[in-house]
Amino acid sequence: MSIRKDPVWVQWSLTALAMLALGGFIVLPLVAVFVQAFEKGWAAYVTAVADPNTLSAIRLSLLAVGIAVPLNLVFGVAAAWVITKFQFRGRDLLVSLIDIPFGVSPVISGLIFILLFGANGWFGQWLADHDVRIVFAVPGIVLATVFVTFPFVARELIPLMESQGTEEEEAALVLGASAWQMFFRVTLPNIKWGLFYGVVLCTARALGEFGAVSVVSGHIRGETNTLPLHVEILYNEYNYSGAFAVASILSAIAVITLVLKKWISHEH
Amino acid sequence: MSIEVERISKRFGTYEALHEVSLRIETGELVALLGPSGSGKTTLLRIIAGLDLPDSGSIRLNDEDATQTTVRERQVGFVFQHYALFRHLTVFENIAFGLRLRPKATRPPEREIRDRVTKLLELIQLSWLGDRYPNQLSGGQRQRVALARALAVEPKVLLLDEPFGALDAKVRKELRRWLRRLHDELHVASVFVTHDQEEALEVSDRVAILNTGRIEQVGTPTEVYDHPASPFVYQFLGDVNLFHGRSYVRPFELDITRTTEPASEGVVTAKVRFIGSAGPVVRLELEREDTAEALDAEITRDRFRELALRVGERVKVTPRNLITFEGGGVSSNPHRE
Amino acid sequence: MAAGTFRKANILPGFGPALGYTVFYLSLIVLIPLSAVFLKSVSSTWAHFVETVTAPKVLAAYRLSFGASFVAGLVSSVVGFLIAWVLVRYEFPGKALADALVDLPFALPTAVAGIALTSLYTENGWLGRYLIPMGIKVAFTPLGVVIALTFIGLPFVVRSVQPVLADADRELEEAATSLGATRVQVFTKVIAPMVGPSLLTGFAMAFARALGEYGSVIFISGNLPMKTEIAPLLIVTKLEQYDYAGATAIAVVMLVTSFVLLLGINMFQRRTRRYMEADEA
Repeated sequence: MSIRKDPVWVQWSLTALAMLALGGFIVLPLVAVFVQAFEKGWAAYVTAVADPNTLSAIRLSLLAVGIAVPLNLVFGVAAAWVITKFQFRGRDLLVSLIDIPFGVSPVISGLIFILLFGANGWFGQWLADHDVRIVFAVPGIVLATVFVTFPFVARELIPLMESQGTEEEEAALVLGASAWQMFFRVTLPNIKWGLFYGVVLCTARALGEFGAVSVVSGHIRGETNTLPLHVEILYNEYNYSGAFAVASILSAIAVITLVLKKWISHEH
Repeated sequence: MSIEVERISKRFGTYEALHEVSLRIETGELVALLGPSGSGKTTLLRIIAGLDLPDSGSIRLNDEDATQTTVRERQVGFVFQHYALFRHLTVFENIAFGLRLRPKATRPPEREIRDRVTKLLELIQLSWLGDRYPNQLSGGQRQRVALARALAVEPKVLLLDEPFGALDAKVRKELRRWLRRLHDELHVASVFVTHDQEEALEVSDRVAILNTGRIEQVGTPTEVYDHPASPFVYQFLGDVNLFHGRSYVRPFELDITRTTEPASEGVVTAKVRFIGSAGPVVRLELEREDTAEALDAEITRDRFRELALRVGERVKVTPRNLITFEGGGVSSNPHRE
Repeated sequence: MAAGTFRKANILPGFGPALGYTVFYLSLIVLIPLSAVFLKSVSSTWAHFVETVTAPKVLAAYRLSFGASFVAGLVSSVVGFLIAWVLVRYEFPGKALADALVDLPFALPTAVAGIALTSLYTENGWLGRYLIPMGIKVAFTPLGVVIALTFIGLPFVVRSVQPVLADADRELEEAATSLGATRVQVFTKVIAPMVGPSLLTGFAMAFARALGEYGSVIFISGNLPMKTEIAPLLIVTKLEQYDYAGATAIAVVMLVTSFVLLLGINMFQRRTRRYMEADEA
């Protein structure tokens, strides 16, 4: 047991070094966002946030979340069900394929949809003939968001459901449950916290996605700007306090995400 | 309701879990499926419940073919090895689960559900635990809740997978006697899986002994103990000593006497290597002088005191009841020498 | 699994519909769109492909992207291991908070991280005002790129090392010291071999993520041609010039690299897991 206790001076200096690194690399940027957001006072903050372009960016971001999260939620549950409760050929391959959007650069995630639906893309001509806009319009932003947030719920559920096994579902069936009764009365209550956290992560990423959305947006202010894109525009116009004011909304959501994670893992 | 299993086979990949197994269990009977791990006993139980599908063979419940019916339709009571209690429901709601699932037309009114669950809680002697969650219970309590949950839907067949496997020795003994009494009150056909021969012999009406996917013998506890059908059965039901490579004798069926005469034809002499004198019988570890083989013997405390044996002393060993399996085949009958 | 059968028999419901929906949605959202990139790259000529990906500007971007990602991965590994070590082994006030904050780079939008980091290292920034007089320029230099990528990479290392270190801490160390090992021996003979694979995994994940990173880098890098342009930025630039073929060519090189990397991580993890399980059995 003696080895568990490093000498006190070692403990102290290593801890100090680690916290310094954590503070410098991670905490300082977060603090910088909030300090600079309020640099010009509360009134300037409110003005920046209540700006019509900011509000329209919020609306578009919420729209993307409202579509991407439910779609990926249903997918995540179905995929996790198949992967964790059954053994079949290609199971490992399926798990790897679901992870793909994590491995793809956000810029490439956007590029994909330009190649499909852009002016020179596969469906470009057809879309132009029918007067449908996907790229440089809202549908493109939604599609890119769905793509980058695709694995979140599935990834959260797979290890959880794997560890729970199949006995409780079997018990429900023996007791006479139908498939849906089994799902809603046994499976869903057992995974609700994992599901909730998956949705939180999915929402946070959908709100914060920058690269993919930037590529497909066309940067049309008031029309195809999400919150992160709006941050970029304000920043590039040297409206720093405005940029940081909008950034502070996103940072607050990130902090809430972390708090929820800590809370969920603590409670369950 | 009776259960009839006919020529059931089941493979998992290249592994043959069950090979043409047939077994009939009558209403009111309590049958133990006994065997070492990997013998196929749990697979057989799950196939009867409809939780696994056989590759071939048929299942008849109450003399009606049930092979194609789903687990839902079979309406059996099943107690899982690790209980599989619903962790998000209280004990009360766990027991009520099967009743609440029913469609409106056949679901008992709420009052009746509460009455029935309350009665079951009394039956398992856990009335005061109705509001607790499964993770707040001890292993023995969970086991009883799992049983009550299975009984709530009034099944005609009760299937239990290693029902006492995860419990400590004292709780095990209490629970298995309780299960026996309960079974007698309910008048159902019950099957339980176990790898503990003492448990199987003590509780059940009949024992089916499985080995590598085949049933070696079926019979009452006395039948299988006194007339084992194969060396496997004999060895599995208790400690044995092997004589001359093909005869068997149980440790308590060896007579031990002090001796000074030398080893000769027909007389086995041995040295005492170890004496275990704690417990109701005294256990002797012996080493044969002729072949240096190890022998285990058990004698009463009185006999031990009479002999006043010490480690290193020489004794004469005489088997009282030597069993030989001719040809070593599983079907051969033992005869006594 | 029996030879010739697709799945092991299991009486739970929903396999067919759930698998069908999973594969359908996966194909629709990920596989078919992604195949567009590869088909597009095939549609252009090999010569044009080579010409695009070997243009000096592109090569400079690859050098920066791979080089900075590699350095950032190394820094993340060292710092991340230290943070994981402290979080697992020592008790100190604010530990739970520190543990929660490790995940911040996962949760913070990259654009926000980008402008925040930039603001720290410019002339008037909280850190820049001290570093620049000392001759250390971070903003708009490759060093800035490394810092941004380290921010992104740190949690990958901490989160892959932490659980393994906790396991090693509990079991093996006690066994090793009871056999009379010194502190240094315990570290080199017990902890390092156990934690090594997870550290390598963390490094590879941080590296792969850094290669594709965009939002947190483009602000602090300043995007000076031939100097601080990362590969993903070149894709965006080509797209803005409607040079789809050029953008796709650069993208294919990056995609192949990161797939090979992730496949490697996956196989490596599966192998070490099997090794550990075999060890336990």
